[in-house]
Amino acid sequence: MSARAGRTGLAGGLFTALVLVFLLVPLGIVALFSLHSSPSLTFPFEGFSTRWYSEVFGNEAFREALFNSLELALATAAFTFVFGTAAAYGVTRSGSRLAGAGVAIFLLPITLPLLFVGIALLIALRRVDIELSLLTILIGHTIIAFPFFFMIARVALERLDPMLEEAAADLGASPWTAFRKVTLPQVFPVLLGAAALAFMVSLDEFVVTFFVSGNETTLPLFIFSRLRTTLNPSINVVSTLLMTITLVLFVFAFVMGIRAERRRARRAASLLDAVQ
Amino acid sequence: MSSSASAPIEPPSVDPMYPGAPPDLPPAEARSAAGPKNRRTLAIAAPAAGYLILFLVVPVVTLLAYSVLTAGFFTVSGPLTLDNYKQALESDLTWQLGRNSLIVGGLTAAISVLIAVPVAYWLRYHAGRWQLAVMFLVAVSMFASYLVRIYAWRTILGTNGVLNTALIDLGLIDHPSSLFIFNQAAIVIALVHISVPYVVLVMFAAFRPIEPRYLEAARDLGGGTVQRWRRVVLPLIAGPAISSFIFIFVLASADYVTPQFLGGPGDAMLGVNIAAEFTASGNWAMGAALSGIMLAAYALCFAVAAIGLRLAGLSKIRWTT
Amino acid sequence: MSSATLSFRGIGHSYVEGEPVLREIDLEVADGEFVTLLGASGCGKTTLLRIAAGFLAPSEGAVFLHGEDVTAVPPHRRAVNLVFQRAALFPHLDVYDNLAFGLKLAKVPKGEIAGRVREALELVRLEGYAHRRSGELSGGQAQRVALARALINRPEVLLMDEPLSALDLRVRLEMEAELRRLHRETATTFVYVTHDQHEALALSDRIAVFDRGEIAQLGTPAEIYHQPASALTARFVGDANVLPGEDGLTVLRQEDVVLRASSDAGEVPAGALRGTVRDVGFRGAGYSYVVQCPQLPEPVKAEVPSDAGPPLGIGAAVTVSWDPALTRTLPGEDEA
Repeated sequence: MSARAGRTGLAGGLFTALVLVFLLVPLGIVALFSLHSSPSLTFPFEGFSTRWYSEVFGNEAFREALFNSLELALATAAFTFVFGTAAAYGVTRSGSRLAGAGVAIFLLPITLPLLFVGIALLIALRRVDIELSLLTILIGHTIIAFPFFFMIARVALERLDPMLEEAAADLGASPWTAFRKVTLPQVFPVLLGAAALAFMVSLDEFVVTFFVSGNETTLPLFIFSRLRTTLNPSINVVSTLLMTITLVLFVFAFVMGIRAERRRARRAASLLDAVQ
Repeated sequence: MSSSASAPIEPPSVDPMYPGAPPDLPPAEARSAAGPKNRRTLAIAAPAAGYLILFLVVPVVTLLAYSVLTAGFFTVSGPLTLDNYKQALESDLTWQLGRNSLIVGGLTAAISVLIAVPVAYWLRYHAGRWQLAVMFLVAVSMFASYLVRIYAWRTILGTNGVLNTALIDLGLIDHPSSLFIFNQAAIVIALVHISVPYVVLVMFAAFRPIEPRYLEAARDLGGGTVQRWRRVVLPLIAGPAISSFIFIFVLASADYVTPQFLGGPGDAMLGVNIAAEFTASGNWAMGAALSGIMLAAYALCFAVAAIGLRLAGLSKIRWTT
Repeated sequence: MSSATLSFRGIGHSYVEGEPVLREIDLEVADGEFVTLLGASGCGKTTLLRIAAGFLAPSEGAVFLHGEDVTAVPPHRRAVNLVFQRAALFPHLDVYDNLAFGLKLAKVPKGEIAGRVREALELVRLEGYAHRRSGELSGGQAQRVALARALINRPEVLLMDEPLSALDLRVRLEMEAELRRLHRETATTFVYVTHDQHEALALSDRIAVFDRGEIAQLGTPAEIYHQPASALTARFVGDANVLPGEDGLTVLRQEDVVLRASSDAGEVPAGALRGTVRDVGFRGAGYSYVVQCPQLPEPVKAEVPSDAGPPLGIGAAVTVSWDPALTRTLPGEDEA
């Protein structure tokens, strides 16, 4: 590599490192102070303690919020898995021109500011006199998370070799059987990763939830209410908890994605070997 | 039997001159099944579409409808009226908030893209074995909670925050400065923090198809770095860069949480007002009208960008021929 | 009505309005026959095969299986099986499960499945491969598993879409012998698509030569080779010379051309043409020459056995002659 490229590489690397610091250090600080022995949120760091964890986990409202959030996230993941896969399948396998319109609808939530989605849903629900509850929150979450799952599912289904489904049909599989026995096993890991993504989106969702929740809390709502009242490391605890769950899920989704890529690359390489 | 008819769309078989080449797939038309099956397959996607139409499209349309109805307390009623829009546009507050939203949105988008492009470039061409790890770190920060990040900057930039304490400890200042927080800069910082990972991933995807040898070839053909970028790289990444810009602009300008926690009294943005109308004030029609104005502004931005890109694309073609 | 296993009546198809890929195809395949659809890319042969398999509904016409109209029958209910260009084995299943796939769907009892899988593996000479994964197979092995997977269902017709084109030459030749054997041993009707004339000649009972969506000629390999009905067929199968004559075209096969160096002693036959060697290629069994004759619009191609003497060099002056009895005359003009 030329010296010029070497210098660019170094400069770029340094810049990227700084950006990574900018991105990650604030999050690290939040996690750090969740273990602070004093209520202070700033340096000097006076010592480690789990007092805030005990306080938070002992809090009834927090436990309820945690439970609600996990429940909602799971439901969102399940919903998007079923309907998102169906949507992606319908759109990629039909060859119809209407498919384009479908894609536009499925990606719509991501193009609108969450604020509008939230208030639109609120007034629509009010109009038909539906009580705000966990169910309405779930509706909001599923709408928001849908495009994330759909995009991944769609790519996964498109990249699948169509000959496999044809071979299945040729051997006697109806479209549904072919999907169950051939398509789904191939894309399942990626879809699982996508569902994890939907889970994360639901867990972190605040904006829409703010408008369509009645008396229910979720973890982000809990943080929000604490933000307005007491600024102490208890907020850090909840935040760190949220970040940890998200991190674990993200690693899971990431690994699924990488493995699917590796498997595809290996298969393509072995095909080429065979031809050689 | 005219041989001049355009080439029939026949699945190409392996070129006998190149026996090692993997055979091509038949074109999409050949693969898809006959007519009625198409519609039946598409019907599988119908429930999902129906759900989204019911819970997204219909509500948004309702929202827009509300903007032209008469205001009530947490409700609207007939007759149709443009009063809401009139009121909104005549109010000084609207314009001030709008200006704040515009500034914050524009700054956030611009800074995010400017930061993300070099990072994406480095990731694509110079990262080597670090690529996966750095990508992972960038993506992880993308999935950290929105609210948590705002909180993080609140604690860092605050008068008793980490930044102040650090600066005092380093002896750079003698007492905590309130400079860092409760202003537009703080809002922008937090929103940039939220936006950068997304733009990095988008720009990385944009750089991906540009093989290093294209850049090398361009260098060999002469022309300085700037020229090389303008002629080779820019046309290919302009599209994604602009669409990222718009996406972040929309995201940032519509935000209503950051102004509340990181902004000063004069820094409120339109989103805050709209949210208030729907939760506190109960003037849904006004909130809807403000939303309508924002959406119209966004639509305008999309249109301008689309036209701009097309014009730019056209004129580039003229130069190179 | 015929006793044909598979028949196409009036098949026409266009992917795009106004651009037909197939026109008025009528073809009957008899029971147990090996019929090859031969043609260059874009001629419609694969389209016809996919119509036979059920993946495509023809714009016009009908497909019959044992006299029954199956045009509207979806592929999973048609008693035909297709072998794809690239084996298309299910990667998440091993060889056994790939083979058993169709049987399980047909609700064949478990005990019987094991037996039939074993038989199928024996048929394609891959005993012991039952628990290999598809990624562990070579191209030839994968294609053999694909054949077994299709044949195990005892289809009425076995359709094959250029199954050997992705394999290298040596494997291809082995597989040709395998296919002939399979055809004999299973007595199944085979419909084979290829652009390779050598394969077509070596494997088929009958060949349908396709040209731009129509069947240019249908006949046995010998008929197609020795009695091409058109300039296209003559060129495509055997790469014969097509020379303009007074009453039509003269088809002259490469091995029937007599080349003699102008400097050679001996009689020059009447009507011989003068020419210059433009190219020489060594083919092992012989040399292929391309000779430019001023009287002819196209160069003449000739095959000369290598034991006929040392090769002529490029630029050599030669005389080109042939026995008129060995040529064939076609009416009309050259379409090229």
